[in-house]
Amino acid sequence: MRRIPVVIFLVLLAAGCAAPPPKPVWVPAEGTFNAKKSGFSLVLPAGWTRVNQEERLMITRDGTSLQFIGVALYKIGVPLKHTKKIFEKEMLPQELAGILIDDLSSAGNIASVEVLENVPARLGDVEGFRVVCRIRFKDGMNRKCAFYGAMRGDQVYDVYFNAAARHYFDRDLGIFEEVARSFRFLPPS
Amino acid sequence: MNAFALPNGAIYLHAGILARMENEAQLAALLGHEGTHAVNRHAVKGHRELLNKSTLYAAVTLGGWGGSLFTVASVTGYRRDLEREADAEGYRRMVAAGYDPSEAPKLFRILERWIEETGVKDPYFFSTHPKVRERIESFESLIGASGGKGVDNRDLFLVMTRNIVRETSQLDLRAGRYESALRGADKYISIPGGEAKGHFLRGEAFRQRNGTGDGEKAVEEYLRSISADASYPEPYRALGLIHYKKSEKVEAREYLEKYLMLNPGASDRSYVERYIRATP
Repeated sequence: MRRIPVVIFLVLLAAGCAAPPPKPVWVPAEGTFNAKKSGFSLVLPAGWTRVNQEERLMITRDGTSLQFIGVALYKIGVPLKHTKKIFEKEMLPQELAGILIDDLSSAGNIASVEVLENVPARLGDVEGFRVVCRIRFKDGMNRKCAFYGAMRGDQVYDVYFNAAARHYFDRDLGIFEEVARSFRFLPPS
Repeated sequence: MNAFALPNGAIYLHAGILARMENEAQLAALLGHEGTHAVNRHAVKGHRELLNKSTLYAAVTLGGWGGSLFTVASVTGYRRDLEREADAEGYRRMVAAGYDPSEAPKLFRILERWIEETGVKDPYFFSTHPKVRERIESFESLIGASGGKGVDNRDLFLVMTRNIVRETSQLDLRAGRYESALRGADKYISIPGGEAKGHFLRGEAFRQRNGTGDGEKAVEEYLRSISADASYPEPYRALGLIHYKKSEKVEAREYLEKYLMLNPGASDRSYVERYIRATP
């Protein structure tokens, strides 16, 4: 009878040794990131870590509560998360930017969004926009965000940077600009 | 959208509820209702009731949210008899202050229509359809019992709340709630001095909704806005962009240049200058 627990222990030990090591959630970010299915690539900075997923890009240096850079894709004709508005094919870059700002403003946990800058800009080789906002959350937290966007095909691409308004936004804005400049659209796969 | 009284007597009204009221009598009905909750210490009564249910109280206190129940009830609503008491006492105060009692159920009908239109599922007392319906029935029975007439101070109320009406309509527009935005714009137009901005808001709601015939309606509204106030720059930009997208370069240029002339510090100047350069 005593042998049974020993056997179970040995079986579990063997199973544990045989299982592959768990995939790390965060990995070093430096280098070129290719999201082939999503159709873009960009160069990530040294010293940052990224979420270890093939198509989803989210990087941070000190933790996402302090700063993060990411890429979001929106399908034309599909309502956004917070506003019921949709992107349409014939929209101008200014209108695309307006919808993303409206979506941000309509989030339930945000008290106010102040647009500090909203200008034409290129994303990759496509005419788009660049927006800088100050965001005040209902719990009193202040953040700033910057994002570039453009429409290609039936998707709107949004390369964004979001950080604590104090210290972190100004410190890391230059890094975000480099990341955004490195953005390239990949040929459709 | 909600209104509530905290146990310390502070009464909170969401801007959205204030923007949808039509007159001061409706505000009086709401303040009378909420004021009664505070004066008659309904939060304390609810808390004592919970104390008596000792097992539940121990559970929630150990769970760490016992204290917050004081305020949770005030936001989500009280027992049905306490709500009825707040209706009756609030109604009595409203009538005693000289307000038209027939306005009380009208306010709740407005809220009921808003809940039905938006399909909102907020846990707030005044965003919950059955509870708003109960208020309508409760106030209708009170009116039936007492009758009476009074003032509503509509004109002054609308002037005092005009900015809230406009901002709420803009918030609805940002959230893509076009019907609510249009209703807010209509109300804003009805307030003296609100025509130009109100018609522009209607134009924006139609343009962004982009349903069948909305493009034409948007143009009509922008032109009405210009007729009401030729120095208001926003409709010129909107018309300029409509013509620009249709490649009607002469009209586009004319409207966009007018927009920049009226609003030299426009935040979207760099976009507009780019459009103008593209319309030689």
